[in-house]
Amino acid sequence: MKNLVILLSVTISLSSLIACVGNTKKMPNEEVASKKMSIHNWSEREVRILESLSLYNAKPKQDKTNRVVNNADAAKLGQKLFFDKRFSTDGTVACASCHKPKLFFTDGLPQAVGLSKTTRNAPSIVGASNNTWFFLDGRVDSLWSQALHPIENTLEHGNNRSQFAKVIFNDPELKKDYEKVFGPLPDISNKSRFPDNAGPIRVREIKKAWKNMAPADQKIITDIFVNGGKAIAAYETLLQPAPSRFDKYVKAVSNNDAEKIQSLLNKDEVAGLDIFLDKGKCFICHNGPMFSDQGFHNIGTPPLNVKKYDFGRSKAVRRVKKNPFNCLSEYNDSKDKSCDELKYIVIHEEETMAAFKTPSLRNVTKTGPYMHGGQYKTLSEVIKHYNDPPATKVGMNKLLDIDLTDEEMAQLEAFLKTLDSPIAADPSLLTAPN
Amino acid sequence: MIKIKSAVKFITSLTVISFIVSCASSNLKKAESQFQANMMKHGHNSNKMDHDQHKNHSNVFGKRENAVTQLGENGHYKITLFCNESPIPLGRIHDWTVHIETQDGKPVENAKVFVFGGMPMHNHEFSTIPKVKEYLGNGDYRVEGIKFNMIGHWEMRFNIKRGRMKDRVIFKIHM
Repeated sequence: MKNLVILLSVTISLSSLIACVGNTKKMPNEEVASKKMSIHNWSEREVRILESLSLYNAKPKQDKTNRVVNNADAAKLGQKLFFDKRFSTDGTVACASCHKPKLFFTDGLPQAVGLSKTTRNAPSIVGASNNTWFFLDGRVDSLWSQALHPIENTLEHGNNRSQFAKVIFNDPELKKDYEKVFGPLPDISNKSRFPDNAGPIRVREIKKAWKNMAPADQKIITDIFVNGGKAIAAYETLLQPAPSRFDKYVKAVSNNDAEKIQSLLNKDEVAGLDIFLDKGKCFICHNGPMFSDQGFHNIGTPPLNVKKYDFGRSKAVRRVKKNPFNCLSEYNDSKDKSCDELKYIVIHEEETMAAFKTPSLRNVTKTGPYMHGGQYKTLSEVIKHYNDPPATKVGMNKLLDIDLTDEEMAQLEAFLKTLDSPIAADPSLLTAPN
Repeated sequence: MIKIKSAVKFITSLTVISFIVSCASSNLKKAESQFQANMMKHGHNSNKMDHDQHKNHSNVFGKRENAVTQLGENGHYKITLFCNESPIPLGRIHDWTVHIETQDGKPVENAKVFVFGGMPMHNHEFSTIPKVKEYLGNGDYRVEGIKFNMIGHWEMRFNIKRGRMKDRVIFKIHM
């Protein structure tokens, strides 16, 4: 009996071994084998993937909902609005307060601070025009409607749309710039029809003043407000990342330019790129020329406040569907009202709970702190999170297991630094206009 | 004797566990291999496929001439699927067409067709909610709202109901 059991045990063990060996033999990965010959020797498939990440092959998104998105005069007006602090209730906050050109249009803070501290990190707006959804939870679906939101948010500009329209109306230069793009400004000087402060916001007097306005007058104010957002978006669309050392490397790989291939990325950076594509599984979500799948994922980021969770995308889906400036609204300038992204939007909480948008990785070294609430100060902390995520507090963590060594994590970080590049815009666009 | 039996059982368990652990690292690659095998198995035009699966998989489903046909799990219907664009777009919402016919080739008209799917290896569903609302005639149905927002292995699953006849099928798509 004893012998029989031992024999059985040995048989299982042998068959297991054979099965394992068999598996290995069944999976000859010629690509990996060939790559061992040289760190730069990418397989045909890998070259295709690398090219899909390159800015040289990118097709910039055209926002058809904004008729002035490519209008140079609109961009000039937008730049003025972007840096103008008069659009905040106390004259201290502009878009540029949280999106500073010197910090790659972020603020360097864990959570953005407008009139008060918010609960979210300020994302960079460089290349943001290529996004499908805006804000970290995607609660709006166009760059121009994103630009409007902070103006009426009590934590950010704390302003209202009537005051916004009046600043433009009462400033001869802004009025002239506005009219050059959008045509004559209606006369909104009558304070009984157009109060100085009115808008559908959560401040009682301002909301009441808005409700007392005639619908046609509300429409006049909202039109000016929306046009202002479209001008800001035209300016922001000019802020694109320039090709980085990584993009130049991919170009050299495509052209089989051995000299440049060798000089552009070092051994650790190439190893990091390989980890990014394969073992680290980063590429699964950070794909496309902006290194973002434009999706929303719960990656188990620790909440900032355990008593008040940030539910991210799950709340935002309801907001974007109701947003009066969404793709389905009358303010969509396109003839195409199919609005597929809204039409087929995912609402299931198991997919959206505490999920946040995959951020771009371009110039990632300049856009910290990281995660939706600025939970991590450094890139190495972020990579450690992915390697060993903490227990999920809310929703379901969708991260896949990776098991990187310290050396591999350092190599991955080295690769991410190759995505640094200047902003591909005229220097005059990177400062407040005169 | 009981002690010896327990010891042997323990050794056997250890052996099995060590086997599982030792093979775990290769499971992902194995899944990929199986996946590719499925693609070959289910593709009508598998003989046309290039040896470099990764290079050509995106085109396997593209357009009607490259459609893939599978028999439903209950054996009632033959289901043919193809993308209305070629190659399959990445990161953009687009339409597919599913054709349903009986085993003897008669188009199945006005069936209730439900589509869902996602990336099973990543444990997530589509980043959109696709729908089958429009019957195009001759057993064809429009599958709208499909979006692959990342590369990798996707599944598109269909539940089909016509009267008392129910069938389901899973198509595997490698982006």
